[in-house]
Amino acid sequence: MTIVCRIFLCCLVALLPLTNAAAQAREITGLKTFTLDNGLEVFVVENHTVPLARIQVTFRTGAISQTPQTAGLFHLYEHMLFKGNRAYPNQTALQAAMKDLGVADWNGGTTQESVSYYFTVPSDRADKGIEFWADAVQFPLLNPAELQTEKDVVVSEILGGFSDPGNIYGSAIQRALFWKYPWRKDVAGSEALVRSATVQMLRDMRDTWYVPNNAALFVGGDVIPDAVRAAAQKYFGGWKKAKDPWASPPPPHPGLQKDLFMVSADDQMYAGLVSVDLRFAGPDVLRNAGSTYAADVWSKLLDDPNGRFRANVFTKVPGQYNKDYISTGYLTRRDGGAISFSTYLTVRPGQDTFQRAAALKKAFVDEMAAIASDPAYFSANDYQVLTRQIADDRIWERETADGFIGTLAFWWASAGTAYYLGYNDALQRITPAEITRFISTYIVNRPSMLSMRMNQKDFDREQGSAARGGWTSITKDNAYWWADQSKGGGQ
Amino acid sequence: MNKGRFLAAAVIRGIRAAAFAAALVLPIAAAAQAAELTREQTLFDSGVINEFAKKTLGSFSTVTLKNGIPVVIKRSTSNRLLTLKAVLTGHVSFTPVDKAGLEAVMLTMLTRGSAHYTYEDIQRATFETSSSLVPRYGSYDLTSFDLVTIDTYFPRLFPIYADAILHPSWNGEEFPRVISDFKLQKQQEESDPSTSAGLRLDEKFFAGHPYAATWEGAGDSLDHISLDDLRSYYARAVTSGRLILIAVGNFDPKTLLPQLEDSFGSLPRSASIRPPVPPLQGAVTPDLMVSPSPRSEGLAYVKGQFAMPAPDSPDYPASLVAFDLLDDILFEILRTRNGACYSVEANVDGATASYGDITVFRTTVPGKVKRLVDESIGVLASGQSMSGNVTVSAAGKSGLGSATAAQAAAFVPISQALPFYKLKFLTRFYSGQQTNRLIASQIAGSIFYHGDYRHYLLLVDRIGSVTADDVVRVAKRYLVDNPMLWIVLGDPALLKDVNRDDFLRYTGSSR
Repeated sequence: MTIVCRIFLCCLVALLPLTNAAAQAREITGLKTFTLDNGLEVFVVENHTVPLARIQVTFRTGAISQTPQTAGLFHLYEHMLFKGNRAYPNQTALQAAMKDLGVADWNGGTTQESVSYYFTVPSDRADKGIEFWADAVQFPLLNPAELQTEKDVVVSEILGGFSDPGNIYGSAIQRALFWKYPWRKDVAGSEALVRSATVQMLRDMRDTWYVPNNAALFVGGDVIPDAVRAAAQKYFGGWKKAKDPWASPPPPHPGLQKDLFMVSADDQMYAGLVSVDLRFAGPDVLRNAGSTYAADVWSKLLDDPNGRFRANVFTKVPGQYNKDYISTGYLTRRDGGAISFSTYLTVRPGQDTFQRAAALKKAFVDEMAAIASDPAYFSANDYQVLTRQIADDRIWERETADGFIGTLAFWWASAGTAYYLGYNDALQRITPAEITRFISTYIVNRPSMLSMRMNQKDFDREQGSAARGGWTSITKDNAYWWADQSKGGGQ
Repeated sequence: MNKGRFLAAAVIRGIRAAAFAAALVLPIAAAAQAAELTREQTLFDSGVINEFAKKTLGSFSTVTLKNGIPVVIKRSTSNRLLTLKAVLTGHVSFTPVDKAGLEAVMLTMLTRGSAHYTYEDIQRATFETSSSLVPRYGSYDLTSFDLVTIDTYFPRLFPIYADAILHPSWNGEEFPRVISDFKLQKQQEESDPSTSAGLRLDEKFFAGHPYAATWEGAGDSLDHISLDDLRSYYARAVTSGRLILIAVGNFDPKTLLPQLEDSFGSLPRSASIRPPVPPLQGAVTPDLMVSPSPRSEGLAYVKGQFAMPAPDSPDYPASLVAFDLLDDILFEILRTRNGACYSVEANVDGATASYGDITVFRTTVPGKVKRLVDESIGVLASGQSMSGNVTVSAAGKSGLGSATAAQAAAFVPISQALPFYKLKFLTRFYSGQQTNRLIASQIAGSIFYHGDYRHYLLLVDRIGSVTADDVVRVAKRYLVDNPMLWIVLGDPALLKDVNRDDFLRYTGSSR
């Protein structure tokens, strides 16, 4: 099908309500979804390759739900779920129970927008596995003594981040980009905040965020959907529905107010090489779901290693390390999206690296303007490849039940079930005009943050240029929003 | 090797074309040059193997190309992804220390262009098909060059893949970039406290051993690798005598085998004699390296390394079980009870020269962890392990039990816990059967270490036969009475509390 026909058909389809697309997509082979009366969403992925079952519970929370007082506590809470519940009084007992179930690998994870717990069990123990997580997530003990011990473990993670210049650099970028509510992006939080956590604070979090209507159960592998449905009902059915924690969405991140220039220098960065990163505020699902599809299509089209975009940007600014390392990205976020462009510059004696970085920014923005003004910038073949890649993505993500559950959980937490089920169709419907609109809304003539990470010795040679160009140095003291919490953060 | 059985297995199952099949049956002398494939034939014939293995056997086809390259095809219809793996046996034993990284760089350069396809062609083809050509070199003994693709794209990708391996163009423009990437990766690892601790330990641990020629480069070896080195090394290294081809996915052998014969079969027949790789037993002297790292503010990283039995040793399965048990004991004692670190783990790295390691990641008390590690080893060596029986440690939902009681009951005789750990192994084994890429890697290891492409299927049986006495025996032999080399790297302020004597000897109580 030619691109013209495809777009025409897509325009017609676009008039249909999303629920239709979702209903069609619900016929994805091997995927069943249903919702318990208490609001718990259940996903069952059938894959009978091996006699195993993956069981995962995910909550739609994480850093996104944090306040200046609770930053880092969702991560701490994640740890505390392994410290005992009504069935198993402490971590030792909990681990014994997992061994009894034949669990090989288990873990929990806290991200900006989700908290997940998972393990894999022999499929004949799937029912017991579901019961295990039901006890763990509904009835955590949150024991005060265990909390004190676990704070040390969580703090060791935070301290580890301080010794990682990459972490410091990334934290500074997040802080600057999401300057008004940086704690909603900071999973780790601070040592002081973690140390100050009380059992009551964790209980309040449990009652607000760890509720069935803000959770999803994923069961995949060698399982039978009806059996999973029965087990879900049996073990999770009595979990009381609570007030929707998302009834009042958080205020939106306001985006950058002006252009920013920041540089980080450390001796762990490659000598002679500079990482250049450009960020713009992007759409998010809570406010601009439609634009998030365009953002993904835009990002996929620019990913072509031999495409016009990379070639032009690479040619316009000499001294880039490698064309293959030019990248653009957008990660679908429920709250506060970001658009990124990254590449590496080699340090050239006698040339001002800071000015070259600024030239890179201009080259990128100019190229975006070119895309926005030229509907034929991407060829019909580019769109055909894109169509294939979208279909291929489904094949790759379905390779294993574990992998598919990971994908499902990500989309469920950040975008919701209907969004995911209609995702491929929605991408296919994106037109060049929508890409133009996306670029015009979020990139061209919009404030951005240009940042660089470079080796300390390279920086020392050029720090005069940094000062003249108005670049702010990133340090451990100014990278973290909580370091000057009394000032309320801010740009 | 039973040559008669090898020849029988060399006939492809399911191939009807008699003329083609006849061409695949080799003279005994020629077959003897190829890697051994069916050393365990007697065992498989006996039928005394696990049910999964029995069910799986029918999915294999094996054949030997006319130049002696063995081919193993495992047909799988569980998904639409295909893996074709060209394995090179021997790896670092073929590369001198002053050229360490040579084979890894060579494999990476295969992705940068060939006689019939430019780098841009390769990039375009893989981008448009969501596929990849992957150099794999993260093992001391084996490397491979893999094609991972979706079934419908295989006809487009195979010629590119084969040409990349068989007719590399040695792209001079890309070579400096590839070398630079390797150098940057090395620099990155050396500057990260955790990975640099491992690198420094390896450097001393493998000094004078072939494994010193690590794929990441040793010393300034990457500076001494030229494009001419790659050309001449390629001529010596990519030979029929070192190659094994493994295909896993929904392949049709009738279609695939002629393609392999037309391409890889064109390499001249050659034999490959691997330089000796001595075991590490007897080569390790107890020692401690203390390395201040000012940037590791408030934290330290501790790692110990020691010799272990090779994968074909009778002690190997028991070692895997013992280290799994130890892993949980370490977690219980270091993290759960003492909050002494973020994570801790014990690993067996199965290789021609196997070794084991214990790693304590992010500790605030490096002065205490060696004794805690030894306390953990002592639990294992005294015949105890973590419980897997919930009736021992859980009070049930009707009333919460005492946490102290549960903790006290944490350790039980190994014999009680063993069934649970064996079940855990089974789960892990099946997890490893979920992707064609993982299966292909296991087949490669099976051939190289055990002389039988099906050996990985027997892991379940080998683990199943391990007894509690076996575990205690290997724990004493390889953990209590085994010299270990340690490193403690971290915040200088924390290193003051490190007692060198603790690291030079086993401080635990049970022997």
